Amino acid sequence: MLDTTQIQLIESDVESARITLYNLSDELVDHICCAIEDQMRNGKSFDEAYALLKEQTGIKVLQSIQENTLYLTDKKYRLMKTTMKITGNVALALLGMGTVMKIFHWPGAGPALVLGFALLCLFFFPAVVYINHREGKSKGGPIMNFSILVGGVGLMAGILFKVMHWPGASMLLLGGWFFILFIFLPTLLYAKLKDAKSGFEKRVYVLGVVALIIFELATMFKMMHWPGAGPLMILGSLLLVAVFLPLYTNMRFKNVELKTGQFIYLITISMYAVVLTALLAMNVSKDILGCFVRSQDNGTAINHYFEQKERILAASNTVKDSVVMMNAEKIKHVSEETAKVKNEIQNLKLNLVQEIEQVDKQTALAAISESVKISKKDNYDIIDHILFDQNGNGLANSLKGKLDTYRELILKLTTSNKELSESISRILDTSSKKNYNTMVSWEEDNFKHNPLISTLALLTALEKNVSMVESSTIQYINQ
Amino acid sequence: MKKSIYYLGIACANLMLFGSLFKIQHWPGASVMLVLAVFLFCFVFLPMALINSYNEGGQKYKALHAVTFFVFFISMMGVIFKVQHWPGAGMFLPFGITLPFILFLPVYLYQTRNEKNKETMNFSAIMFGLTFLAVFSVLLALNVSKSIILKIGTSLRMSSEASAFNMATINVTDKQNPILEESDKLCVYIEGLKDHLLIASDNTVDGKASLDITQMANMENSNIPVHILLGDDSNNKMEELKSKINSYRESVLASEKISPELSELSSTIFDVSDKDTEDGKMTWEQRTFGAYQLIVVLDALTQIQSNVRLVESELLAVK
Amino acid sequence: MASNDLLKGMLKPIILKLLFEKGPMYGYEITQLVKEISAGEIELTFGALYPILHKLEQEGIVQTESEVINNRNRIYYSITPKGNSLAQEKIAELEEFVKTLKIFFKPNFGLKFSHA
Repeated sequence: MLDTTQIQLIESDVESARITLYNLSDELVDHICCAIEDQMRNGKSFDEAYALLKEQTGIKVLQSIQENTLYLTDKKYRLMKTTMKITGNVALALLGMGTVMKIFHWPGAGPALVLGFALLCLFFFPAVVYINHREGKSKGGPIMNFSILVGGVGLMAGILFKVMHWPGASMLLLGGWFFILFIFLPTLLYAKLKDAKSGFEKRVYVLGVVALIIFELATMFKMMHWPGAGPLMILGSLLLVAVFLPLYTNMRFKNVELKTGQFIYLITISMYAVVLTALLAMNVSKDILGCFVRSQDNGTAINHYFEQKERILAASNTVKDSVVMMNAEKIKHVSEETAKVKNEIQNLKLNLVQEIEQVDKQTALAAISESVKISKKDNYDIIDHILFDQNGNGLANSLKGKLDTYRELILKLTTSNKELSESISRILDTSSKKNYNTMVSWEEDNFKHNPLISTLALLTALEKNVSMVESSTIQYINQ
Repeated sequence: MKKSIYYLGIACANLMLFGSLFKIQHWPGASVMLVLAVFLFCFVFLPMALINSYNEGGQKYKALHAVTFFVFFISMMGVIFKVQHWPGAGMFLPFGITLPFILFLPVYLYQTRNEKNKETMNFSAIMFGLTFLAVFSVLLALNVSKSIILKIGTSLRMSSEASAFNMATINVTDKQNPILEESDKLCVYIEGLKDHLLIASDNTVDGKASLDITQMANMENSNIPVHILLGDDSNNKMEELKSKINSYRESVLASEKISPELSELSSTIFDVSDKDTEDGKMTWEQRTFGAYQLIVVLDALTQIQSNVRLVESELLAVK
Repeated sequence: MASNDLLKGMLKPIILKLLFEKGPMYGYEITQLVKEISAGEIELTFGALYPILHKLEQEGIVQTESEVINNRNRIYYSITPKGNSLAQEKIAELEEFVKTLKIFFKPNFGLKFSHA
């Protein structure tokens, strides 16, 4: 026969498994009591008998009884569970596909992401919240369920809107964050505190929730481009990973509840969280590449002008005159050398665009003159591969060599005009530079890790400079 | 055994965290920590923990354990290649991000399909983890490395150099030409705008505006440029700039000795009208200043100056 | 011991038969009785028992009655008048099935001729 305190102990344990189903908790308590009484009749003490029973049937087993009962008796629950499984899988498959397509610049990323997010928001998420509610796992009651539902759906929809550049993203995100930060997380903390068995556990939970709030705030600040995101993010991730994670592991470790599988999940997800947050913090929006599109197109227009001018110059040079004759030789030489350098630059541009975009020559030429059309504007690793070979030579280096020879040639022709030659040596300068206390060569400074679109803009600007030098030189010779 | 796995896991996560923090702050030692974190994770923690989990009753899930190792090994390796700019990063990362979806998820679902107990919680945890991964990857795909800002700096520098070159080499035969004065006026006006922006954004040396890319503050700030160029008390600076460029173009085109090529170039590079693009109608300021980050605005303004100097020099060179 | 795969589907009629013959019973009692009758061959875990009981209650075949015993609530299950016929039907169904099953284990499937 068990006394009242023993029964109360069992009752509180069953309660902690959150058995809410009608009659079921009474039944389970009675069942456990009977089993213990049986053992005690065989000469075991209450503690021994209960410990043995707990080993065989922990909280998880009690919960699974409730889950199975619900599954058998509740049609709606069964429906929700099926919904959760199917939409969860389909949504994730779609999201995964969308991500892959977005990263590889394949078409169709948009619809896949939209559909995936829609499934997630409209079906999967509500189903999970419902199931958690029915299983009595969310202890904060209706407030918590409601806030996580609204907040979560708001956040996901907001991210989708943001990714798709739809209007209203900020409102959704802010609304979602409001619910999560100010309603869900405090209720979660409250529920966890009610649950906690010791003061230590309480402190760990408070810490965890505070860290989460700070981290979420930081993400919000970052996405809304508000100042102060950086320090918040540092503080939040420090608290989460460096303080909360060890304490939490230690706590769970003592209770022997943590399976290695769950721990692997915990660590892997923290690693991802840290690294993705860091990568995001180091990045800027892709819109900024538009700046290079403008530079590139501006440069192309100017280069086009110089080309036409040259053509006319070449045509008019047929007039013969003794002084002009002598100068004409020089001018011809300059023009030829300039053309060589410009050809080199143009071929390099063509080569880069063809290699990276995997298109034919015609398409590449069109893309260079209208650079919005380039799809892989931000690619830089193929460029690095093309411009630099393993020995640090490669095309960037040979371009530098060509520019150097050209500069020396022009400087020889313009020595008598000091101002001009100085200007020329400045604008065609290819010497190494001091960058953060280390010497960096001209080609590394300009071309290393440089995305396609800005490399093109840079090469076009170089071409323009060469044209300007040629123009000034010819003018000087003609005087 | 189990205790050492816990220590290792926590060590990995913390090394990763501090490595990332150091990296963002440009402090030395970041790379060592990041590489160590990933190598510890891939070569020690992951195999040890998985073997432990396997012996702990995971024998049923042979394939799942193998796939977990493979997928997260590749994935984390991809991360370190990307962060360190090692060759092959471009190959590694797309696979790293897609493998959890196309390999890990199906195998996980297949192997645990009959597992009735405690499935809901684990299932939702995995789902949310992977959703998180997807969201962040997409956000990441919409971003470019911050080092691109330095490249805008390069572009800005080249524009200024080109301006300086044209000013130094200009061959003035006709001192009375009104274009000389017009060009100066426009360039000085733009210089004033730039100084205004630089001072407002704290880029000053001894109280004077200073355009030094290596020391620049608030490079990504877009509030200051928007406020100065478009804000309520900006006195319509953007419209003023546009009308100045417009009238400059008109006077260049009206110039007597202009060649047809040069007039074509001038009408192109000083075109401030709205244009139809694939993204709909775009105004000149949208096309030119984009999202109005300080560095972009400065670059665009410098480019206009450089264009003015180029046209001026070409126009006056005609005999 | 009988494996779970074999037991699936049999449990419901077994529980019904017990309730039918013994009258009102509570959960633990049922598990112990099953164990006793089958001499330990069939182990009805409470994880399997309670979902079935609740399902039967929902279908209106059994009803519950709560009684305080030894300071705790005990839930007794008994067959409803409405469930009576249904229970008999289920039990008969199982009996029939077991008979059929037995044929399979007779040598030569109980047939008089042998293979040619």
